[in-house]
Amino acid sequence: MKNRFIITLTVAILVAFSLAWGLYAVISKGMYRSNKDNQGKLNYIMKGNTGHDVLFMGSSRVFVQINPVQFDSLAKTNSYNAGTDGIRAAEMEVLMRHYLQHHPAPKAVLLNIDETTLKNSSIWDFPRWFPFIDNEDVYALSRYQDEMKLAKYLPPVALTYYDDPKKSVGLQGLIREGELAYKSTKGYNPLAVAAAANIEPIEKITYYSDEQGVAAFKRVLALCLQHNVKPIVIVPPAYILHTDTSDERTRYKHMLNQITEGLWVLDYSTDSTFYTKKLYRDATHLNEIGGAIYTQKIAEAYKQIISRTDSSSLN
Amino acid sequence: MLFNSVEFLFFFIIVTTLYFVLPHKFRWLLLLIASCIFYMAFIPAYILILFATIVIDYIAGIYIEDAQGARRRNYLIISLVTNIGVLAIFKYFNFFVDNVNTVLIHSGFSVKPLPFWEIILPIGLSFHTFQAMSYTIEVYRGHQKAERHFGIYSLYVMFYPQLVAGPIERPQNLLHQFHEEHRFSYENLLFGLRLMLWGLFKKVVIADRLAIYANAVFGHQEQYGATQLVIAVLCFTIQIYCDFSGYSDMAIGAARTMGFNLMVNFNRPYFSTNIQEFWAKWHISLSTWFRDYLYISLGGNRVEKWKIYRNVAIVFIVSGFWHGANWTFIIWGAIHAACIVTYMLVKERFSLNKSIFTGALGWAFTFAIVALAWVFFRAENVQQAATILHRIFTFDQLATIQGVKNFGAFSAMVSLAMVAYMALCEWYAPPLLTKFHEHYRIDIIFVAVTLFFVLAFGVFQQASFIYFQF
Repeated sequence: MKNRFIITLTVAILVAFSLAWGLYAVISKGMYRSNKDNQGKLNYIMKGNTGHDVLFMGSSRVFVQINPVQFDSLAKTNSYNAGTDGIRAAEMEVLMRHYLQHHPAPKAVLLNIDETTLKNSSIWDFPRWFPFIDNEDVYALSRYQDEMKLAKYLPPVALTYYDDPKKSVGLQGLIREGELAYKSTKGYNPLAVAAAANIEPIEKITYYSDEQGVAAFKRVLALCLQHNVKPIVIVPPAYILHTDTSDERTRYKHMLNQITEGLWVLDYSTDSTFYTKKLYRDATHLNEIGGAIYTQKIAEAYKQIISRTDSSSLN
Repeated sequence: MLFNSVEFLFFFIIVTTLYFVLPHKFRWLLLLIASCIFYMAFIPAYILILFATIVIDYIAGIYIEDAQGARRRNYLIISLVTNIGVLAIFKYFNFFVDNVNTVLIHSGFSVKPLPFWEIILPIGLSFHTFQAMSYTIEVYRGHQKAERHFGIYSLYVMFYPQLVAGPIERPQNLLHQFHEEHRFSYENLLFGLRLMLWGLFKKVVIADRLAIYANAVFGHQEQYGATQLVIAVLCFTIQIYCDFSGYSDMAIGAARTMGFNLMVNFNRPYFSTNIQEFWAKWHISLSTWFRDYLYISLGGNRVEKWKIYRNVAIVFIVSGFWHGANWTFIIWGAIHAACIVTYMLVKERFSLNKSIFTGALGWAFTFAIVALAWVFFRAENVQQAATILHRIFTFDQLATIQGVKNFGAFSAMVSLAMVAYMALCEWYAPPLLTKFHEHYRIDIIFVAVTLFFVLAFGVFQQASFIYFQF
């Protein structure tokens, strides 16, 4: 029985892990090639080579509420929405670096800062980076999320982090490339966030930030300046109680002012236009109507910025 | 600490290794400490409640054995009242308050509503309470000697593999095993690990995947039409089996690696061709508990016909209430009671010949009834269950049929393939996969393929087990 136990365990582990390794490689390759869904968009930002005048970068607060087609019609530009769900400053830096390596540099980048942008103690949806794990910049993200190391050193276990949509995208990516995701909307997808059944105002918003997050964001700004790209910081609106004058909010605002000193800042977090519930999909994401108003405001502000030469806040 | 977590993997390896390293006389202490750590990983303070009931039942057991006549009965009553009292306070108090408030409001009394008690239900309370009660009842009946070793008795209630979701053991089966010295055995280790892997497969590959669909639809049933509701009901039907039987397999497997034999809790219930057979194969440790301690106490089969039906109805309604303090569970129990009584009446009046056709028809009918009854089990309240069933039976398709986020065609195909694999394996090797143990080569293939499926298709969100809430 001892021999049987050892043989069963050894053979089973070897076979299962080999198969899992193979499947991981297949799915990762397919994800790397895919044009589908959010992975397709990530691949386009990381490896595409099309030129855009204006780039919107940030989290779902960019992805679902800034419409580049509308923006272009108002500002006469060729913009692209590079908003990616849950992205934080360190990931923003990776995206920016790779975008500038492959695409022609844009004239301006609108960088979204929301409540979690400057938090880098973890990486949300880290498996989307697995197909790029051999890249040094991407692997460096494992400082914030240990599990990312598995993709390099123990792929069969990393496979367990791929959810069904990723596996599906990976397998389809191997078979056919298809049209680039969100091509007609230039990266914008107003439905990427599910609508909440009940939208209640946030009583007191929590802002997260850490030293690494702030440092990463500063590096993004430095990258922009290095490539002669005008960085514009946008702070998105949220359905919050505007009686929220807590110390934390004041502290965060003060910190933002320090980071963005000398830059254009479009702060819509206290814009009374967005105090209305009917403009939201959930408490932190605007719906299509809210998004249209938001895009219009950004486009108007952008036109003013490029017509001026000095640097000061518009709000 | 969940069986499907990395923490448990380390916990299991350390405890099992230490168990065989330590001399026999210290093993009970190791298992008791391990069980305390396991339980305290959920809500530490609740171990005090568990400890209090253990002390009372331990003393009651000895007093029952030593006493004569009415005093034996009194000690038993003290033990039962304590256990049922703990259940009543922690599990049913708010249900009682809610119903009293409803009655008061509808009666037109202008009194201040009774306040709810904001408390979290101690995990697995119904399971270890019933296991403790079976001990004092068996001592009272003279089927079991009172355990004089407090540590061993505590371990009987707290043995970590089956502490929070069963199987609900009987003292005759489990207690003596703590006194026996178990020698390390590769056979037990292989048997146990195989069963644990199988339970993990059922939990993370099937149950947690189907839960994505079932949770989305049951969470927003107003957004979905009849077709999606039927799919959600089927998903939940398979999910609850894989979730609960998966836990039981892992519990039995974890115990077996250390040489302990726990009772079989599931035996392919969804292959049943009638509702009576279903209940002989579903959650066997609870069904037999109610049979041994409630049904027989009510007179069992040795009473008039109508009383048998009454007893069956009582057992199933109480069993429903055991699951949760909500009318949905009572209705769920009542549906099964009605089905069993109907089946008994039909069987009595008509001779049911056994052919492939009647077998298939019986299976389909039984499966459909069980699946529909799960709607009450899963629903938040009676109104939600009624809405779902109404929409299903009126084929109410909403104008906009929407999918479920993160559950597309790929998830559906994987789910179907994995359910088919599970059905094939359980058909081939019931119960506890014993047939695989007999066939070396098939066993290697089975273990390798199952491990690959866990790695490739597992949903590792560390979702809790459904039955932990009971």
